[in-house]
Amino acid sequence: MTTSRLAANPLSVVEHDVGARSSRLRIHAASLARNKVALVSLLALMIVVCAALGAPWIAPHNPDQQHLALRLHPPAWVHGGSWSYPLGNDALGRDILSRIIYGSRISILVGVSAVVLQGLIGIALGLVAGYHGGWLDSVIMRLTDLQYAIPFLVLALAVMAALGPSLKNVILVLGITGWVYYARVVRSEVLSIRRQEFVEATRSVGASNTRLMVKHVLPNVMSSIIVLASLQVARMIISEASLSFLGMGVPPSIPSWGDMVAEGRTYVTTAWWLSALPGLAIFITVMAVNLFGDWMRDELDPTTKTYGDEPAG
Amino acid sequence: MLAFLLRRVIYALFVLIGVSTIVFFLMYLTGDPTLAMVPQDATPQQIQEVRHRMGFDRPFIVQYGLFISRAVRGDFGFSYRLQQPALRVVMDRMPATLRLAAVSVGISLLVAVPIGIIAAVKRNSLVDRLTMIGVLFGQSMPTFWFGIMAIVIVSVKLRWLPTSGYQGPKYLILPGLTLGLYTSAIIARILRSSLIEALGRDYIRTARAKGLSEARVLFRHALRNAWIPVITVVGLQIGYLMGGSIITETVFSYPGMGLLTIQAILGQDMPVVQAFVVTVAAIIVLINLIVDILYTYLDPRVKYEV
Repeated sequence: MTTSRLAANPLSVVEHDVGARSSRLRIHAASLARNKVALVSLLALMIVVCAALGAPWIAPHNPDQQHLALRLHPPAWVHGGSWSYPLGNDALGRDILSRIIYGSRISILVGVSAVVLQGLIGIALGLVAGYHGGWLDSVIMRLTDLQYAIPFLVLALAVMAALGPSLKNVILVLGITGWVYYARVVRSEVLSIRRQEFVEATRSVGASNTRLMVKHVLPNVMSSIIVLASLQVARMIISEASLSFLGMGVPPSIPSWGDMVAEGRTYVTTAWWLSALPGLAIFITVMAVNLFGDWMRDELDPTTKTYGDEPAG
Repeated sequence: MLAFLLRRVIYALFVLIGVSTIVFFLMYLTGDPTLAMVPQDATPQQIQEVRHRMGFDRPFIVQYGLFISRAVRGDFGFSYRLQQPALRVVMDRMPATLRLAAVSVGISLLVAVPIGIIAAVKRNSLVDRLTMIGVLFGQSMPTFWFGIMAIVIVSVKLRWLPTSGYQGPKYLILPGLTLGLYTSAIIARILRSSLIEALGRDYIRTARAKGLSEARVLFRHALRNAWIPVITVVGLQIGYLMGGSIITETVFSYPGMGLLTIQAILGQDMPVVQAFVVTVAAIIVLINLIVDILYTYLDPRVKYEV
């Protein structure tokens, strides 16, 4: 077992940057293998991502194909159900399993792209605010104050109402309204890092501000950002589902989990599976993201780890 | 303290003007607002007339100035749908939403405080583990789905509580629980961790060494300090509760601001949406002001610099 030896004596391999990085990866992998909860949640996430990527090959039926004879057909394990439609059919006779598989595409796509977008905006503004300081800092921080005064969902809904529901608009709205958390985290990290010696030293050898920020400050705030981003993915998946549930997200022509729950609401007393199953898909996915995010926080938080050797420069 | 208050109030006004500015730009994202205000079969001449009367044909900066000066006085124009002042339409529904939010905070505290205390005192016990699983569930469950499932199980199958609408206190239980789900999870988690931290402090050891009973140590010494983060979190949750009320009120057809707003959004009734956003911002700013003042009572060390 090489991994446990490395974990026991991490310093022995920190010679080159590359070596240190791959050994860190191995240490993380070993820790993941020990943590059953994190492992299971990673597995669940991989299943969801595979479903999203391979939907056309995995889905047993066409998600839009209507079979009026199969309206509200129950899932296989309920009396009257059959295994050709394992999760039953919706009000138009469409296969629920296939729609859930296709719906994962929206959740994953929106979750990931909204987080990337808000991360880029928030990191850039947070770096500028923390590093530059002065009036620029004040303006950016007052902007975050403003956004804190408007609840996330309220702002997202209001902008969606103005722009009209579409997949592109959902990603844009969630991306643009979510940047404040990153900006705050990055700014406060930058403020504490800025005074440290290595930044002074780099500056004294003539590094430009941009170089300093991107090459030296950013790597130091990365672990905080990764943890925040993982939690934000969970929040964005729920937000997209909420917007779609309210009819202000992804248009109903595209299968999405939130919209499926909304459509099933009317039939909830007679055919509970219409709402219950897509909702369960959201719940499991979000829980897996949260659990995996928790594990990452424990892994990446340098204060709780002994081997947290900082990348040299 | 008075100077601090004054400064905070002025700052709050600036935040509200900022929010009004965002709301003004929102209207511009919709394109020409006149088109939403006139009947479908209006002639170009009628459209032009409305546009002129509303001032939409004036320079952008003039329109902005007009909008802000009206917004400061609480005038957001008339609701297209209801033909009443938009702010009054929202205000009429506000008590219902505040009642729901208060009930949900009450339920959250009732559920989360005992759980958080037990989990912290009996750390790593079965109760603690179950609590952490519960917290995770509360944080991962979509509100609208929880609400629908609660209706199916509690109202339809068990027939314990009404499904929707509002005709008395009984109608608040399920919506309050649904809206408070996430808040309960957060409160339980924060109280647990802040109590664990407080219990590890020196003054607790001193209190125990004095021979005080464990209950007295817990309730008189540890909890007193553990409360502060909980208050902060409850304050921060107000924003979440206002956003969440839109979903909860939709699921339970509860006649509050949230349901009104989602109807306004679906009907492109922008004045009502704008009035709602500014009202919610005002509530959040006010609650945070109250929380700041509460700190000084709870924690004598907090002194606000002027």
